[in-house]
Amino acid sequence: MFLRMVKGALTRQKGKMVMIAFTILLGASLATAMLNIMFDVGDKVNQELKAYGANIIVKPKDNSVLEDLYEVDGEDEIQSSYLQENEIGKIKTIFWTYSIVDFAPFLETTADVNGTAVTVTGSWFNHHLSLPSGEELDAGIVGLRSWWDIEDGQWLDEKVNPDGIMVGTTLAQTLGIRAGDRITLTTDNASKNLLVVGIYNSGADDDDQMITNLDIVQELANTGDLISSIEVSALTSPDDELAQKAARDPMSLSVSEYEVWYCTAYVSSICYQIQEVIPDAVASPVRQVADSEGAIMEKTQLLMILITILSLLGSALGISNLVTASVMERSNEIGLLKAIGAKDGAVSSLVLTEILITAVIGGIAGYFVGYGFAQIIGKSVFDSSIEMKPIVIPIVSVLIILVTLAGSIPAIRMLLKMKPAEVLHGR
Amino acid sequence: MILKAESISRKYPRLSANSNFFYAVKATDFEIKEGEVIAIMGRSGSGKTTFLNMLGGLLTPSEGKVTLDGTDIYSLSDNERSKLINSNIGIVPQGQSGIDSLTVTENILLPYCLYHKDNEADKYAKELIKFVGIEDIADCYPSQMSGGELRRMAIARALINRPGIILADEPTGDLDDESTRSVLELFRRLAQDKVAVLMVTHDELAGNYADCIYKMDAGTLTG
Repeated sequence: MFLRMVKGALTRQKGKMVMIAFTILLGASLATAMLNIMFDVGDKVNQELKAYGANIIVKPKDNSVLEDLYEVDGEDEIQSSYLQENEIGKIKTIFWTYSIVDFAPFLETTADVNGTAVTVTGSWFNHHLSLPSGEELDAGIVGLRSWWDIEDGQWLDEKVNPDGIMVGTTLAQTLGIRAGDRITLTTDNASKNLLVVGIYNSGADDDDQMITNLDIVQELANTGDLISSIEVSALTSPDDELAQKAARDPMSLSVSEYEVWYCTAYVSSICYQIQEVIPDAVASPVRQVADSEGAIMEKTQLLMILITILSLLGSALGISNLVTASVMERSNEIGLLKAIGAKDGAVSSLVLTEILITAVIGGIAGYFVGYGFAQIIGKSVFDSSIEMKPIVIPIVSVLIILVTLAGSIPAIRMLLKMKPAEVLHGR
Repeated sequence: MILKAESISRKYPRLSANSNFFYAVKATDFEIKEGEVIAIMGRSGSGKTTFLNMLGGLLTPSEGKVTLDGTDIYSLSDNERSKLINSNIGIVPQGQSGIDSLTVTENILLPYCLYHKDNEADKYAKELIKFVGIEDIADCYPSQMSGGELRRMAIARALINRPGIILADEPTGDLDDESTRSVLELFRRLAQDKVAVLMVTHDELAGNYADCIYKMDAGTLTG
């Protein structure tokens, strides 16, 4: 009989119930879209930011100590020791291996080109790696410097152009070099005749340099299989207090804190894990990039949370008005129920059941509409689809139930105050 | 079963020259026992319905108390009072009352179903439907019924829990003469079954079926 009454109320007040379901649909769809984007935005923003370079730099331990001691870095660095090229692959064996998006080794030397001393950097472009884990991947600066503008020619392909070189736009103008030219690089150790594959514009100091395959620079510098640094691009989680504490000294963490820190993709824990697999190296975050990522993600997530809260508040207000109107419309029926001895709880549960059934229908529809919203936002903002996270379903369900209950409070209060003697007498 | 009112009154706030209140019902003593049919008559606005609602546990008196077999019904919690009313007092409200989504049979069973999950009242509901003479429309919905049929349904609904007391508010209002007689005869038959019937009405005809007639005028009840 209870269900008959619920069904009867739903069908008799079809228009009002459709409005309530629609209000809930709007709230649920926005909450679904925003929460999915919020959970996915970390990866999306990270991927966007990865296009602007590495966020971790790995250097030989001795060099790092010297740099810290003399407070120099970058161009003025003191190169007294090196890393082994064959250790680079170990980076992809750490716990957070799937967070490592790209990496490339670097080695610099100075060579003579037509009587001019130029800085030549050796690196990987699209270097193919077969890892002990069986994983196959291409790593190098093609991904790591994806923002470079190739003004003439093309990116160097290691397989096609083993003797290729790319020249920065400023240096190319100085030396009068164009793509397709051949140039000879000479050092005390060797001389190499190389094909200029492309002229790049990095918008930075790299435009005064040349960059070629690592093995060529190793030969020119006569360093064997050594490299001076590795740049790593990793997907990271924003730093929090735990990460900051660990960054100061991982050994200061308790066992449980250590486990949480180690198993979270903080830039500091990834650096720590890189140092575990390459003991002679010091891995340090490029702070500006890491901090920017954290700040952007936090602000984006805050924005999503605010939109979710506001949309749910709007829904609660809408539900409140509609449910109150529904209760007022049915005051005779409610008064009669009370007059024949129905407890307040029974009458309230009747009304709440009707509203919750409507909320479930509106919520389910809202989830799928929200899925569509999320994809539209994903395509237009990130140019990729938003992955629907299963965790969003229980969160949205709980939020919708809470919002529906909160929105029903004024109507239930009115219902509880309703005097059967008054409503049945038409007052 | 005895329903008793001891000096009950009901006042409402209303600013006037002499007072900040007006009394819808002035301090009144009243008693009804099993097997009695009592009619309270009076003009609209005289306080009849307010008085009936106070007796039925639907409106708290401003002063005084209402007892049912010695229990002060307004000293009980809302839930306890609801249960007490449901079990002992059958209320026939003014106007055409029914839950639109339920059939006649379901409407009649509703007071029983509020506190029971079994089907034990089904047979009695059928008897009541026959008793009030609406067996042909047992599966109809309130929207398909006439005013007289609705009133009979309300009486059957009031009887489903076998209450000792029936409180009927204008039970013959907007009924034709034939329906009016039929309802009043019904009350007489209930009285024979030891049910106490209190009706408030405008209808002079009701006086012919009552054991005792009271008059309500400006909130004052006189015998």
